[in-house]
Amino acid sequence: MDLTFSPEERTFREEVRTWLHEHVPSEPRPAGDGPDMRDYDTSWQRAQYDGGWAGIAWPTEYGGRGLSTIQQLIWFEEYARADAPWIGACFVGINHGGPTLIARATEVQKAIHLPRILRGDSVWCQGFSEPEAGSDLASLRCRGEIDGDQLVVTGQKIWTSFAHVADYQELLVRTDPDAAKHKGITWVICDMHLPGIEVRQIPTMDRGAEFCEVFYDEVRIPLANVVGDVNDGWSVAMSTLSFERGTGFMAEIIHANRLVDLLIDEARSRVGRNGRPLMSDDEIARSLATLKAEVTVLRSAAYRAISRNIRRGAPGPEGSLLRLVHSELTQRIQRLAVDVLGVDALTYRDVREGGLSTGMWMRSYASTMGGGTSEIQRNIIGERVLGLPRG
Amino acid sequence: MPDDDLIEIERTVASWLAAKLPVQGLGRNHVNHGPEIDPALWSEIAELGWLALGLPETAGGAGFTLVEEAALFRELGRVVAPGPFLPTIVGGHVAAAAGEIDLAVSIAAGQRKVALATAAGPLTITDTVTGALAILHARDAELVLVCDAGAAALVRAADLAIEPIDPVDGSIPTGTGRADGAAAAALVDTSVAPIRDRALVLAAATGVGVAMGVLAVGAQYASQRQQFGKAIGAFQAVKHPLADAAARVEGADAQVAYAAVAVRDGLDGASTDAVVAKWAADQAARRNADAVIQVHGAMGFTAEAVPYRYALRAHVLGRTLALRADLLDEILPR
Repeated sequence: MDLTFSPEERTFREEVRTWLHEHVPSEPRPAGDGPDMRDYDTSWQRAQYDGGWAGIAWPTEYGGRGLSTIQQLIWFEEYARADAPWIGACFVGINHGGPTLIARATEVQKAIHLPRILRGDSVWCQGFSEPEAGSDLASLRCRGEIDGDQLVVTGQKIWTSFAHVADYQELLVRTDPDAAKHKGITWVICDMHLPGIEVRQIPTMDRGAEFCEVFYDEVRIPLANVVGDVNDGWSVAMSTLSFERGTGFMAEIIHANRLVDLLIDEARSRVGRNGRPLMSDDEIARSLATLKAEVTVLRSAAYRAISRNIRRGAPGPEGSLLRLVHSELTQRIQRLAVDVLGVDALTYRDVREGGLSTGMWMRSYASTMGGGTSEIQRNIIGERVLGLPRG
Repeated sequence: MPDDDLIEIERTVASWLAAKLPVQGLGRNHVNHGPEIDPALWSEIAELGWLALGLPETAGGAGFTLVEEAALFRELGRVVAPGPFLPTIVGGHVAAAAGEIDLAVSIAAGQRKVALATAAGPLTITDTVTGALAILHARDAELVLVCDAGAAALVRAADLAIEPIDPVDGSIPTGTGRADGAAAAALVDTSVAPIRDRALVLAAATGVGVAMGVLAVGAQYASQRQQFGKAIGAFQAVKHPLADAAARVEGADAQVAYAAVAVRDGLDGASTDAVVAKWAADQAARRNADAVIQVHGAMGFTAEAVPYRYALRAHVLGRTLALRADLLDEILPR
């Protein structure tokens, strides 16, 4: 393992740092779910694109920079260090839809969608889960019937973040109800502005309103929007999920390191009821030290996973290990954060810029659910890493 | 990432250990009353060059680095190997860095028994050493390795008034002692050689090996043991604690690998990375042993099954060089 960066990489880091210092928005990301939230997220994405920083590791022919995974990592590190905003509504396009299209889409599909995702022109959402198909995703029932050169979709999706502001959706539908459950599924690009689509927002405990459910009533999608083959959507979806469980959340791991540092600063500057800094309290200090150790370990594990992915060319099963640890660690960080904040945690509002608030703690409940619950991750680890028998 | 030398070292060490020192339950006697390690095997190990793996060639070593030494210790942990590997190998580095080449050569040849001290209270290491000590591998020791963040020293065991205690892990004869201005036979400042960082990384590598070894035992048992008509590993209540154990191994192993390179190359923050590695490996070893004992049910409670050997070694590792609270206070100074 080589932990040192080349001169070119160090120069790259300097360029990134300078650009972020000059361009990170000074105003905070708007609260709530309205159009100003979408505008903020897409404007920031557009600014990154205009600066030449969107899609650092994406191929150049689709508007990316075609740079290395190491340079992508450097970008994430500097991004966290600059306290740049959360990616928000652009998350699915940049982290799920885009990478899936790069891996599996036709040249025409790539040419249409990838540059628009990178420019922040289109917002994507993910239509995978259904009310009766959560952890057991492959039992999904949303129907897609082929009619001429169209796919006619009827059914429901749920837990669809940002559906209410999205332009496109990566949608899984059942096209062959008679096939085995992992067969008979198709992955299709759904235009969210088509007639027959109804979106309902679902309020969440962190007072967010980006969570949605989506209803489809004979929505007619061109068959040309199918990615991969009809009835081969499961394998396309798995390429998205393995990315999500692999290095797709690298930015979040680096952000967790940043959060712990913020929390340590907070504990040093806050005074407890005994008039002394909170850091002089053994319980707080050792709990913070434990979190510091845990995020350091996670960073090392992430570096190693990246290094393996570069050699192997694809994420391995250790992605589930990292994701499991990261999601539960995020909750421990936010839980300790509200302990440190004390009575200031009686409001949802950010007490400190960069993510220390009761709202962020509430939000952390979602981290062990999104992208597969911790229980599902443990099944994957048990069966695919340890070779234990299936239940 | 492992290169060819590293893979070869791992393979050679693992196959030798599997043949000569496989992990075993201690059986009905509980306590291993035999020698700490068969003297003939210890001589063979010295002849294989394992004790001089990372010493410079000028001190009779093979010229490998902390990275390769860590690979050796991971394999030793995996089989809960007996023998004073840690104080011998790190002690050789202390002697070599102090310019005591003859001493380094004789330690690496397995001719001088070196023990390892954990401070049991305030410790000062200057030209002399003062403080209460817990001493691992104490029996028949000639020298004792003492280190802190500032310096490392080899002191004469005869100067420490060592009292043997009934050891938790019978393969690690243990004692208590006290240094009162004991003269250092060899003394190295951390600015000359980061001895404590090296010791922490190697102890951590042992812990990772323990965590991996006991997990492998647990996964195999859960795949074979049948209850309610199926292998118990199919039940999530068994599968999930083992998945958590795998996650701890992944993290601790990566941290040890990172820290080994950081210490070798003298990168910024290397000492903290070594402390974090020790913390992570101690946690992984202890908690993985706990989980695998539970997966074994009552069998895990016996001294005939192997999980208990791992639990004892994890317990001792948690008291080797530093305690958990001390590590945490180093990771985050107040």
